[in-house]
Amino acid sequence: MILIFNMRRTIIKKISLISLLAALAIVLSIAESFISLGIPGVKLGLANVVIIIALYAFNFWYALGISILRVFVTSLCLGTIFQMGFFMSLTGSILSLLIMLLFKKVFPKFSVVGVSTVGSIFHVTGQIIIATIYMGNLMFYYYPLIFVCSIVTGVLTGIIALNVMKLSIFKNWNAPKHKEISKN
Amino acid sequence: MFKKYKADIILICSLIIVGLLSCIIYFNFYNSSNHLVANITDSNNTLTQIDLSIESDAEREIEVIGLHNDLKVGVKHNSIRVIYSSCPHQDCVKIGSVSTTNKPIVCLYNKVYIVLIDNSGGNDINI
Repeated sequence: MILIFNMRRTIIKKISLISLLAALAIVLSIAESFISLGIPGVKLGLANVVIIIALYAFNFWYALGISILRVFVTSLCLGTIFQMGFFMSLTGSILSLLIMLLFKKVFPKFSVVGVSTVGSIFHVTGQIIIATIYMGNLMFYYYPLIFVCSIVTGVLTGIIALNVMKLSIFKNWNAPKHKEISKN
Repeated sequence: MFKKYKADIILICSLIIVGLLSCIIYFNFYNSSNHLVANITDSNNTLTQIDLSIESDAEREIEVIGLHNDLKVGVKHNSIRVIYSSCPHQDCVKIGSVSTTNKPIVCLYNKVYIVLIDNSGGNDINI
């Protein structure tokens, strides 16, 4: 009985935390849409902090869910759903997440900061690919500048994520279930 | 601490070097000839072409039809800029005056793209 109660409590805690992360990603995404870096399409990528935390503290599928939800809700709120910006954002997010997962698995030597930097680069690369499909190779003119900006923002988001993940609330979510139960 | 993040530091440094090198190439290999033509397009069609080499030094304003609203574009001798756009981020306005072929002005919101082309060969342009 106690075991079931503890399991339920853990599940509720997990759902609450994921919902909070999703909400935070949406809020950060909407907030950063008002901040312009002067280059068309370049954002700070603050919401990426949440996606990295979800990827490390939980797993790929939770991170993907939060990422897709973030893109849809943000576009709905900003009135840009199914426009070019929406597809740029969606492609960038999915590509960056896939590359981060691959990088995390293949090169375990790299910390969150390295993974976040690579993710950030592929986020803008995904966006540029969609922009190129829509309007030709115009956005490639900006790619060197966007590339450098993405390294800086990737390192910053990585450092933020690294520090946030030190909080006890994000620890042990990936631990095997039997350990979780026996501990309780 | 540095030992722990050695791999990250190496990765980030090499990426920064690659990025800076591409920026150096990008900023040095541009063409700023005296025969520039501004090609203003939407996503599919050329809206207008302006021969910037025959423009005077005094800026004149032209209106370009965008997807949502019209843009005010300032044109003078071998230079072009967006003076006003209704887009939320105003990136196209912030880019400022452009007088080289390596820097397009892009307004994603209104789907208007301005590219400078070197017309030193003296090709015919439709103005």
